[in-house]
Amino acid sequence: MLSDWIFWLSSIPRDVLFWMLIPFVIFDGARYTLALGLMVFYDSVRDSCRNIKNFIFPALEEERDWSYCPSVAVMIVGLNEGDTIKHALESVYDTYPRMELFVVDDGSSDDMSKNANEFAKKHHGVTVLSRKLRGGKSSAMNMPLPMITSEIVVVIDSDSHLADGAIWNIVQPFKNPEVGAVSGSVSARNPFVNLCTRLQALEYRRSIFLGRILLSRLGILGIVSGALGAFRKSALDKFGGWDVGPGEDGDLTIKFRKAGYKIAFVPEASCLTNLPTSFKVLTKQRRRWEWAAVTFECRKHIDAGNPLGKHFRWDNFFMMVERWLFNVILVYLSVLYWLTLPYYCTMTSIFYLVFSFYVLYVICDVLQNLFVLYYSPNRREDLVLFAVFPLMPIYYAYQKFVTLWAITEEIFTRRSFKDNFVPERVRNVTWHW
Amino acid sequence: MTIENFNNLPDEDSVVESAKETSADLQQRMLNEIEKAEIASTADESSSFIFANPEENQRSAVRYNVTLPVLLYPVSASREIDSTVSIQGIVRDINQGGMRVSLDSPALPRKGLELVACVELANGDVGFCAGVVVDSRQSDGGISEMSVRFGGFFHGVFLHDMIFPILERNQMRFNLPFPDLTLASLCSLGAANAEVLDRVLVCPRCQSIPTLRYGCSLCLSSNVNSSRMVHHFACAHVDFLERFETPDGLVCEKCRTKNMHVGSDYEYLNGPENCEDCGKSNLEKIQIGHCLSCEHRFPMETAKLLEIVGYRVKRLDILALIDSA
Repeated sequence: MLSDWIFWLSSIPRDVLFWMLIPFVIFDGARYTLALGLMVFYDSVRDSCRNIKNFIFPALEEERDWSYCPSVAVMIVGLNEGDTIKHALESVYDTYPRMELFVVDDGSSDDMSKNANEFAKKHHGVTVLSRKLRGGKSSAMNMPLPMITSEIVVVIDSDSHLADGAIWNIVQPFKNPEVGAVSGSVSARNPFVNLCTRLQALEYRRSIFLGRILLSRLGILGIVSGALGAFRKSALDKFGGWDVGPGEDGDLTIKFRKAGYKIAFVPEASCLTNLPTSFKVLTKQRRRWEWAAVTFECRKHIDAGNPLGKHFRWDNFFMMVERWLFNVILVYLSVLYWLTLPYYCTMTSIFYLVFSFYVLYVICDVLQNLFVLYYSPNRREDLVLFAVFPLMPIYYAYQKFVTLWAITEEIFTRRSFKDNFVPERVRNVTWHW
Repeated sequence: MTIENFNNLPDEDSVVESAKETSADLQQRMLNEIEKAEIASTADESSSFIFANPEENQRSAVRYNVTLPVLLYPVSASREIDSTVSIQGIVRDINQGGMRVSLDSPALPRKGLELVACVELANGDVGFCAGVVVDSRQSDGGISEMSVRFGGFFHGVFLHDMIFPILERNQMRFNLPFPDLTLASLCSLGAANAEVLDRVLVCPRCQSIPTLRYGCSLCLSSNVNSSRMVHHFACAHVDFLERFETPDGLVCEKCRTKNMHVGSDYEYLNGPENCEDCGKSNLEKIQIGHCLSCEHRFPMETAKLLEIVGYRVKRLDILALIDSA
């Protein structure tokens, strides 16, 4: 079969083969692998030069500057996280000198509030706010804002666990007054539970860890992760905090960008978060993400890509174009591609074409994961995770299907405003973009 | 145990003394003791129907003939029932004031002895009553008989169907009207059963009922100021109520919405709680107890859960017995 496939490949003219593989070239070949390869090449040369310089002139070695120490308010918002809230608090408390800690219980029915209050009694500077009825994550995150006097607001999920020095690392970019928000890196806390979590964990390393390093370098990072993100308080006050979700993290990030702030990414500021352990939950989570892409980037903040707009910026334009193109337009074009393929090819050719895609995706995935290893602080775990790489193309195909499903239902039915992520009494009166 | 032991049990010292006394002196002394016991047990006037009649009236009252098996237990000076010692007999007649009992044993109990009687009724139930021996003799047929007058300390116990704990207002504590030993001996005899009437939270130190308030969970002060916040649903804005208030009513600072209606457009939230005494802010308020007896202040979650126990008494309903006779 392999010899048949090679024969099929060699029998097709180069220009025809290029057009047949065009979805791969646009989606992943150019977008990630090539760009990431260039970035890694640049960084490796730069780091090599620096190491050589430090080796020859050790006196000139630059030590890391930890002098910037703004006051920080850390917010942990959760619903029914009675089991995990104590660990989250312990991972944050006393990791930074000028820190106040806020816990918001968004109407939990378990003992989250009680556990947080017990912690607050024994630890200075911990504030617990609890509400009887669930009001949604956005309003829960907005609740402590009137009481916060710190310069920086750091938001972490209640099921997240911060790595050492995460707060120190995430506040450093704020030394630049143009930076309004900083995203931390998110890794899997439970990567080895089952196949579902292994696939996600490997995807997180590629897209959230390495992908965001690249987007940040290019200046088009459009998301600050809700699991670990930091915001300038003065800017938050201007916007009034978060708007109603789902997808409130991305919404706020675009508001920062539209207001002229830069968004930074700090891979060293990492947190561990619990991944969905079943494909059903994962599908729901990804649908929410894709709904937000349509709601906020194609409707609410569509003006960010308007060259005639009042606050037009080229980086915002490229960010929006990248989202529209890769998250919406190319998804439908790829469907069109696969639907029209039987008119031009035989079934055997389609089979060989699918196999070709599979091989190309595997090669790209191997390369991208090698790039990850260059930046990774935990190479051993990344290598273990790498074992599932032959399955990644199938996982990506599943994700494309979920994306297609989610954006279609959001475009035509505004599905996000019927989602239980926001309580009914809130979503009934909020603006349906 | 023999009847001699039975006689000696209540007051062993008095046996020697009583041998020196004349029968008239002894009777007078016993009557005095009974009178004292009656005064003590008739504190609750509402239930003193037996002693409402003078003694003469009781003697002249109609007696009702019955034939009921009875077990008699002596009462010690420490007001405990000795259930290990008993004599059997038959109740021959009864009225409101007392009863006549023919004994299976030839020996006679001494006069003035306080007894608790367990009477077996016709339906198989048992009822308890208490009295004092006023007379004991051998009848012409050689049968030992004694007359018992209802009274004595335990008679006060058997006036109640249910013994309830009483709240002593100066101590804010529940106490039973009878000593614990007395009630325990009643339970061991089967004359009373303990029943949990309620469970109340009391001071962990002295078991008094505390006063309650909400306050700071850290310093237990009630000097805590609460603030009110508003959550505007449409834009998820949350702020203190004062910042929403304008001359035109509530206006959202974030989205400029006016004419908002509570419940449909916005909700009130409990804001942070600030303790004026310790300065701690934003802790959830907790329920705090303060005991007025021992001045102990404590979080109510550490309060002791006390069972309020009452005693259901198997008293002999003499009026019902008379009616049936």
